[in-house]
Amino acid sequence: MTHAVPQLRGRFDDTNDLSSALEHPKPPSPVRFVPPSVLRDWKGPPFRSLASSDPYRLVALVVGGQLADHDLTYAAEAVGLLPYSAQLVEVLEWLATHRSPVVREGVVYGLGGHAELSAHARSVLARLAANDPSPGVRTAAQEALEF
Amino acid sequence: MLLLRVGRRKTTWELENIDDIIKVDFWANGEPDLRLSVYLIDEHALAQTLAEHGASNRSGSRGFQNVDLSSNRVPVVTLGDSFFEFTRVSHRELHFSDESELKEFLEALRSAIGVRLHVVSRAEIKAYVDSHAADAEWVSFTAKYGAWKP
Repeated sequence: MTHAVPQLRGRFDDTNDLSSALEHPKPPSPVRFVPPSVLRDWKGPPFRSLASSDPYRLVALVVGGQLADHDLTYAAEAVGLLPYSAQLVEVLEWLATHRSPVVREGVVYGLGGHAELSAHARSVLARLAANDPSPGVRTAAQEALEF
Repeated sequence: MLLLRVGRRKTTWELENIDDIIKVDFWANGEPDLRLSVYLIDEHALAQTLAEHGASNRSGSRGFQNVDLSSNRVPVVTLGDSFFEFTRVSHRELHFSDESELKEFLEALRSAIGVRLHVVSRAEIKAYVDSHAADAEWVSFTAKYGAWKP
């Protein structure tokens, strides 16, 4: 699958302001410019801790394209713990087309964290609930819409 | 009786590669989990187990796809760290000497995965929590940690 990658802008070490960290997707730009410094001190999960201690790094890891699928699923889920932002939902929507069902399931849980506030998140979940090729992802998305 | 391993992902067993399955659902602290946390329970206690497990771990709102790891392997009695007595007492661990042993165990189990999976929906968990909201343990849990919404 090919899809637009949300672009990161700004410096990675000068702000935790997520609203200034992400731009709208600009296809077809396979941006992979998360600098090594973002990952240098990262020892791996738990991403839930990262959501509170360093949300900027969490988002950088999610969009950076360097996480293995088994890590990316939990990182995507942890994005759902961050305060609602339309841009975060866009990141998750972008990731909802990932080839791995495990990653898409993580996206569902991430979107579930924003579903009550975001019609956009609900629409992505509804799409996954109806059309995702994975039965596990479809079930998870259906349940995420039950609130 | 079930020796229930609470699943982290519903899609885990859709994966083709056993190494990927291990990394998604049988992984801890950056390496294979060689002390698998499980619950020894009757099947009728599935919703209670998942509700108490989910609340104690502050899991997100969801259902769970779980797997019965029963075999001739003897589980080790270990008190769980659940807030609730039932899931503390029914907690066990399955120990493995190394990754290859874990891998061999899961490969064998995978051939009959269809009858070993036990899905508990979000609605079932919510119904359990709602019907036990006035129980002393749940009142105490809510007072200490706030309401948990399955």
